[in-house]
Amino acid sequence: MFHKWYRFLAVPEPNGKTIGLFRILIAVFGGLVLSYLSMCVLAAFNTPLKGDFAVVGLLYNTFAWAMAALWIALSPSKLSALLRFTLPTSVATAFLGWTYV
Amino acid sequence: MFKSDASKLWKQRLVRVHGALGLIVSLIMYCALFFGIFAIFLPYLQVWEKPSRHIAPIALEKIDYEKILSYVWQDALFPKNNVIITFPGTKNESALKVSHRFSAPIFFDTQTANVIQDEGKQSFLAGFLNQLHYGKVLDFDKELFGAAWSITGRVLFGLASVGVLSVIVSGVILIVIFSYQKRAKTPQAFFVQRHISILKWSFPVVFLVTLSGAFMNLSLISSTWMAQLVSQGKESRIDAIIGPVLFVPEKPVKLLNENATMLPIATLVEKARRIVPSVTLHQARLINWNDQSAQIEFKGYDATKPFLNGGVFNKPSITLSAVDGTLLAKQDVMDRSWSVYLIEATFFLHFLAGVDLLSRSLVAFIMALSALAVGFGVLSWLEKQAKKFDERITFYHWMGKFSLCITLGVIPATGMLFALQWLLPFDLSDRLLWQKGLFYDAWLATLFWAFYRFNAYRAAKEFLLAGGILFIVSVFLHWFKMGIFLPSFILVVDLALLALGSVLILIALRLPKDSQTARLFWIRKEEKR
Repeated sequence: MFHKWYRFLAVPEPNGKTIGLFRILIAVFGGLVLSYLSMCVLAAFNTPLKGDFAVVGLLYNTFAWAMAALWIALSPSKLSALLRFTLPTSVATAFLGWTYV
Repeated sequence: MFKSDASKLWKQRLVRVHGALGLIVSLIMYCALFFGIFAIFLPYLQVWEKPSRHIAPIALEKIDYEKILSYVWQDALFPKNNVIITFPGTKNESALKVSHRFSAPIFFDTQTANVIQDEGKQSFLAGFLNQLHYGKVLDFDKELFGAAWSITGRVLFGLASVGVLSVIVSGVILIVIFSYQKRAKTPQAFFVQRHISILKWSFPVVFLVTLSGAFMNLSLISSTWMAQLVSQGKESRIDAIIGPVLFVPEKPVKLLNENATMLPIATLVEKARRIVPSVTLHQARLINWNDQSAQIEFKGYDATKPFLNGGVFNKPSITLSAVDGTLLAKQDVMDRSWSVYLIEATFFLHFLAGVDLLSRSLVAFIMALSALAVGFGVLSWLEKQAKKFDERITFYHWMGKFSLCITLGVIPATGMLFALQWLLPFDLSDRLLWQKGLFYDAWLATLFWAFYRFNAYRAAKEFLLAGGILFIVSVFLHWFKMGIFLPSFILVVDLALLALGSVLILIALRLPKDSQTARLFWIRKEEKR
């Protein structure tokens, strides 16, 4: 079972002429979560510049979304697309959780 | 897997993402660009569209402010502290506006200092074009139907602008890694080549404008979660975090309760101008007026520092005592935090606040070219589809018809909007609703016409011709109703609309009649170069 899933994810598609639903979903929604949380990380530090970084985060989170989605959609395999979403998102989430408590 | 294989797949995907995503967002982007060009000229259109604003300009020192203020003080319902006077010339408005946070504004004729009967929402041409630009469409009422449509439209435009950002980045990478042929042999290659040669130069401008557009349509709506995450759950409004950085806090001035005579505002304007000669004054705020503690705060735009001030967040200001005219406080352009300049620079090309007609025309020209380039991008995709049929049958594709309606059908519909502005009487009840409704009807009619006409080239010619005629008709209707009025750029708007109409008619006559001559039309031009 696990092996089957792994093969589905790890074997690269034969060509890149279409993107595929899996990548589209991960890129659009994963990219959104990733970019939004990373932009929050920018402003989560309690420094005198907090307000300034919040401006940057708010101003550029749409661009970050666009970049993250592109970066995820262009990954070599489905597995790496998944990892490009999950790994940085976990780091950002962990960081935000650490500042939150 | 070999390395070259991976790179090949990566390039294929890049091409696919650019093409597919580009096609999805292209028509919304075209609409935003098309109506955005009218929104760039909003200051001039809003004066042109209203009979009450056909006022000759006057020097700020020559206005009879005291007569205007005596009217305001007599109005029992108008709040008396922190009254804001917006000077004529601000955003090319020809009237003087007296407003307050908690009251409807009053407009005054600057020549006679009398109150103007403002047309209000009876005349909303420039505002409506601006709403179409950012997706606030079909908001016919404030009930569920109108509210739902207007929020859907804005979020849709916001999502499309994020898509555009992806498309711009992927497009730039494509231009860098691939070399494209200079001479095009087929119409498709011609369209691709034009698409690239225009956007190669204009993409930085389009990028900044798209980014600031995405900020307004998406980031602000979704800011609650960011506010909570960033403030460890203490705040739910982003204003609480970025407000102190972006806006200078206003401290209330203590009232002394001693009557005093105020210096004439014209004198104060003159004093302010002498202290900050490079700042164009936009508005004045009257604090504790007629009291010993009275102050006047001027705000404006410093044209010597574009990209750093003028938008919403950074307005250089100077505060004078209204009793003796001494300088109390001064805020220069460069006194703010760095993030203010970042946001001002990002928004500058979008708002163009305080920018003159020539620079506006330049930005509008770049935007018009970019809209054309977006159209070429869609055309290249359609040509690729048409190739599958190899000219055995006439190419008839829903996307082609729909694109024809959006890109060219919008021109006669907008021409209709302009003609109706002077055709409908100003005392007609629900005038705006008629105007909007007929505009949407006209646009929808072009969709039917696009599907009805088998030959898309013929339909395109007809749309351009109808649009050109309607724009010219609108000018003559304006002249018939108001006469030829020179000041406040009103005649300039007339002439610009005449030129636009003539150019559209000219293009309509020049365009090829069918796909056979079209092939020759595009390619032969290429060979001449």
